[in-house]
Amino acid sequence: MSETIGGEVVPSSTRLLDVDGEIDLMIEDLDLWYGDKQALYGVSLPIARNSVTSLIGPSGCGKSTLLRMMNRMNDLIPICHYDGKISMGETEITAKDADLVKIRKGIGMVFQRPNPFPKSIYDNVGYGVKLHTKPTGEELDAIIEKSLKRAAIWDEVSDRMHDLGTSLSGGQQQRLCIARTIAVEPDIILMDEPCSALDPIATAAIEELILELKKDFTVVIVTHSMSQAARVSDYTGFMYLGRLVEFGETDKIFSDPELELTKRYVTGRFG
Amino acid sequence: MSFLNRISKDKAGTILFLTSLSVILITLGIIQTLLFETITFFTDIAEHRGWFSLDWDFGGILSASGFAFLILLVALLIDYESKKEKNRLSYIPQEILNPHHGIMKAIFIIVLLQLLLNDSFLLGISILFFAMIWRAAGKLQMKRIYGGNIEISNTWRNVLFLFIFITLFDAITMNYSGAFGEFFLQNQWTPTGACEDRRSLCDTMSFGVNSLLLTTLQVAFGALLIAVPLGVGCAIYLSEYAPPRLVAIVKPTLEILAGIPSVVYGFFAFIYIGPLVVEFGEYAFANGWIDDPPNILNPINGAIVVGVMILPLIASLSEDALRAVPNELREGSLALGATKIETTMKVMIQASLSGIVASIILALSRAVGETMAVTLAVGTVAVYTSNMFLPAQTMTAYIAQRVGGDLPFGEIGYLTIFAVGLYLFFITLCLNLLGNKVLSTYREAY
Amino acid sequence: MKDIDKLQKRNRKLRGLTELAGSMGLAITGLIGLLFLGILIWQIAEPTFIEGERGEITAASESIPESNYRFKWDFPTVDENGKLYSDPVVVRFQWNDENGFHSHDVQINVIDTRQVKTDIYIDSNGVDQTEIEVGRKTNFNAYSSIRVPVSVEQISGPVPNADKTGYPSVNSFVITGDVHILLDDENEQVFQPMELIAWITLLILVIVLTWPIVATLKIIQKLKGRRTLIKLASYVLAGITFVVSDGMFVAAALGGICWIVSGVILYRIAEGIERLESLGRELSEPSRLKHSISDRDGVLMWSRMLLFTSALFIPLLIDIPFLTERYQDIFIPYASGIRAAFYGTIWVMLIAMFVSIPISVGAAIYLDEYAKPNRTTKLIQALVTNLAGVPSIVFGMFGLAIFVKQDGFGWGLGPSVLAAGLTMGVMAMPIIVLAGQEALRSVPRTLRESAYGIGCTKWEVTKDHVLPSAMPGMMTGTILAMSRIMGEAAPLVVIGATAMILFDPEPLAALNGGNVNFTVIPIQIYFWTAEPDHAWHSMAAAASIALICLLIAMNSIAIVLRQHFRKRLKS
Repeated sequence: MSETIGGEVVPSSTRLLDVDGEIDLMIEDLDLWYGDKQALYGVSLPIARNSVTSLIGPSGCGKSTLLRMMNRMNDLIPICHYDGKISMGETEITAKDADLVKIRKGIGMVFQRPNPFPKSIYDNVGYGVKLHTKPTGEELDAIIEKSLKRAAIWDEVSDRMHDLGTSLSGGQQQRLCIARTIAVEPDIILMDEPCSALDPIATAAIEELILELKKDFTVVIVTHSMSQAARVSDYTGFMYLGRLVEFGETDKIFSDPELELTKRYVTGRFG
Repeated sequence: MSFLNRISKDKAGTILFLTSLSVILITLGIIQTLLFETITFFTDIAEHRGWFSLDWDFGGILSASGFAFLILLVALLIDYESKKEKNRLSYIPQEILNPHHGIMKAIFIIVLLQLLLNDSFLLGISILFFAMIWRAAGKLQMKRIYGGNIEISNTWRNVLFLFIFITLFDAITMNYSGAFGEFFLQNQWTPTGACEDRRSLCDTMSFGVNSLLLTTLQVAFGALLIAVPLGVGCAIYLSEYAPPRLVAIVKPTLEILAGIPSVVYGFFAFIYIGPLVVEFGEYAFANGWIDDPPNILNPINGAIVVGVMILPLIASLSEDALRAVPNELREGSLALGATKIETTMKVMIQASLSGIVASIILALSRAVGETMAVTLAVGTVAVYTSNMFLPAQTMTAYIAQRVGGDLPFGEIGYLTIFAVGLYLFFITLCLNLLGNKVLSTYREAY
Repeated sequence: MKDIDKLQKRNRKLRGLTELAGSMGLAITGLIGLLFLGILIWQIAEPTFIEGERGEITAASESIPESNYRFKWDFPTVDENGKLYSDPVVVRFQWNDENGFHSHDVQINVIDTRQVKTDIYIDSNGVDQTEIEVGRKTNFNAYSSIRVPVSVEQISGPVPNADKTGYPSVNSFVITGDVHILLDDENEQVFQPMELIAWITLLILVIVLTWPIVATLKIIQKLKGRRTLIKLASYVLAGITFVVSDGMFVAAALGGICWIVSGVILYRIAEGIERLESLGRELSEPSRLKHSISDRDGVLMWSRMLLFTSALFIPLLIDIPFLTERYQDIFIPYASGIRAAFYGTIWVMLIAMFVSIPISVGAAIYLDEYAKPNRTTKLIQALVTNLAGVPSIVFGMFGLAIFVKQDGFGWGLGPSVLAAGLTMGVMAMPIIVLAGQEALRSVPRTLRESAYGIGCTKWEVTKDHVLPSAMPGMMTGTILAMSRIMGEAAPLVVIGATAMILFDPEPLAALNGGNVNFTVIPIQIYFWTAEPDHAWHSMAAAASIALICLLIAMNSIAIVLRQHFRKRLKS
């Protein structure tokens, strides 16, 4: 089943693909509208545990929308409504009565632009922890130190924990945001173009970090840079005009894709 | 020559420049008139009573200097410690200097409460100061443990030292007189008296402006007590919670509130709020909480009505500040699993704090300068009392009432209103400068 | 199990409740304003009855042979002519002594003469009189020499004003008014024919402009190319309207303006048709005409506003004696009005606008367009920002020393409309400057650059491009500043506005030596509120409503302007 949209042949819905290992998050047949405009068409996608899944595709293809759907950040947009199912193990994320707080605690998110709170570094990381628990001073210190170490920023900030988070450089801020996210110990970390506002050196640091994080967390990353997707991810999904065109292991997508469209996109011969 | 050149080049620019000079002229005019009459006022009093003199109170000196010495000693010690890389504070157990933040909050609330209830202002302020020093030491200890540049806020320290200085000054002197001493430091305001010559002043008159100032501050801070929670709450609700349709209703309502002339608010205070306050006052009087029966005109009445008046100002300025916070911060907090109320209370308010503070300062300035509502609500008797159920008189109300009697130029009454006016002008100017400065810092931030 | 889950203890159940409570409470806060307005209206509309006089004359004893009870009645009721009358009051005295139960009624007639006083004496035989006469607001007593308490109860008549809690009753609205359409009570025309024709012409043209219909356009088509003629005709008609009017200045002026605006609309439509024809379009597509008339939206808005305003004067005659006919009556609250204050307010506003607008708009333009960022500019900017926050009463003192008093630096204008207008103008200045700057700053930079790009001088850029796009913001800011000033009483109290004057204030009395006294509506409210008698408070409420209506009218003009210009800038 395929249809022609914008002069390209795309499948009308994605086949459910198998991934190795346990499946952490399952998206099934997701449609999404902003008002009257449909932004996602029948997207189905499995996210494997302890892997990095990247979503690529041209601007406006619905990558970020899909990502923001995974922890229901789209609920902040009043005109957005959707149909379909996303489930994480037993929990159904798209359920009407879902506990958003619990979901977002379990599925953390790192944004495109680093957005540290105007608090100290210590409070930035401690904020999420204090929301969900009532740690004593030592426990909190330990969690913060651990998170900062895992986010590979401990060495740079350990001597100025009480400076403002906003006083760090862009790359450091982004790693601080990652530390803030992992301090809550989510199962999945969503990253929405985490490197698009950063310089190459900071980008390299973040990419290394992503590979490191893979050991403990499941990571879903939206990126514009195909080389980044190729470098960091285990699985890659290519999206086009709201549809998940092709999904598979990264090596396969980049070396031998099934569809002509995907091939043209990953080789850069695409409009 | 350059001025002439300017004219020939760009006439329009020159004319426009001249119009904008009018602003300078007006300001100079205001300051000049106020200053001129005020100087005459002080000279007039000084002719009778000298410029300034004070009597010493030796008992006061002893006790006050004891306090001052102790405070100075501790402050110096902390300062000295803070300059060293490896300070001795780390030997003190962490539980003492940095207890659980709940305990910390409780201690500070107790310290602030005792300030209100304490009979001795000196003692109260000292306890507050000790609490501040304890906090500073705690922060220093944190610095020792975690690093980072924590500094004891210099502003707060300076403000506190100023307070201490004033209080000490108050404690070690018995009486101030002379033109300045009487005006700024005495509490008795009786600017009329039966003198033989209407123009001159006589011994039965006294000009202690603190009597008016106290009522002004009671009204202004009372108003803030009402307007800040409601106004900031309203702003939070409007920017974070309210559905757009409700915002469309509430915002114009706030604008209507802001547009109602102050004299109409005065009418409400006089007719409706006053009797209500009296009922509370009578209850308090019956229970023996206050010594005198309440009057229908009182500072509480004024505080309530001024509070309602400045509410829209705080609400709209704070809402602007909250809306200026980038959406990313909100999303970032929600993505960590914070609820809406947590996001608002812990992230949004902190991010827009300077804007909110600026709105409060500007509202305070408005409350201090408010005239008609206060004149109708607070009363006509200048008394220096902490009982807020008795009629009193604010600075603005004094001016409005005194001047109503058609004062002849140069009479002492005519001069007093300018002295009070200059004082008022100075207070509001300081508040406005501060408020606008804070406002501009937050505008730069986003 | 993760570390963090071990720590999780906190109960989140209560949070939903907090949110709910917070939102409800805050929404209520926003409604305080409406509540206040409601109270105001209730204050003048609702007759304020309280329960009748009820009391007790204490028992007489050896030491007090005669105990007494004090009465006072106000003059409560007013008839259509504003004259006061009172229904008779009946008071019943009852007591129970060894001779049994006694009940006696006394009729008290309240008359409009003060100091007429009759006392009532009660002894064991009963009451000495059954009908007495007392003046209004006059204290009189009931004396009792009975050894038991006597109960006092009013059983009919208006409510007494005894002691401090008494309220008079108000049987009618304080503000009354009539709307006459075309004819007044005596069946006489309320308009001049020329004015009515002008108004109707404008009405028709506005309808044509709103919904262009081919049939009407055919008629207008014949007028094309006769711009001068149409203009001339409209001016002549305006002149005639003015000449034939007998003294009704406002209506005549509005009629004249109606003629002129009609002329403008007419030739704009004609031009539009001409333009369409030169493009070879058919008239049968009237929607095209909408786009070919120059500044159709603007013309429509102004003419609709004019139509609405003149409707109040030309076909209708709105007669609110409280506002425009009655002066303050010292003795009879309900027969008073705010005529002097109304005109005083209008004159003060006009003078303030005349003084402040040119200067402050100029200053705003200078600061935003011309000034280099040097020390002087910074100083002026800081002064403007802080002057806007100076308490209004300080401006009043400035006015007192500079404009009112003759000694020292004073100009010696006395407590006059002129001095008040100047003071208010000075007060409005910083507010208008700030609003103007805000508006100028919102003009996009590209607009200026493109204008410079085609070789405009600075003044031309400002005059032709920046000012027109900043105009809406400036106008709204100015109107809002003016409405704020309209409600200010403090500076005028300082300047010495009088509470009660019985003539229309003259704007230039200070210069030509007339009677300088004046009053404005807020001042009137202030002095009426300070009166001890509750009747005056109803008057204060009525004046407040009148003032708020004026303010709302001004603000709605500002809103209409803002909407209009915003729409235009978007399109």
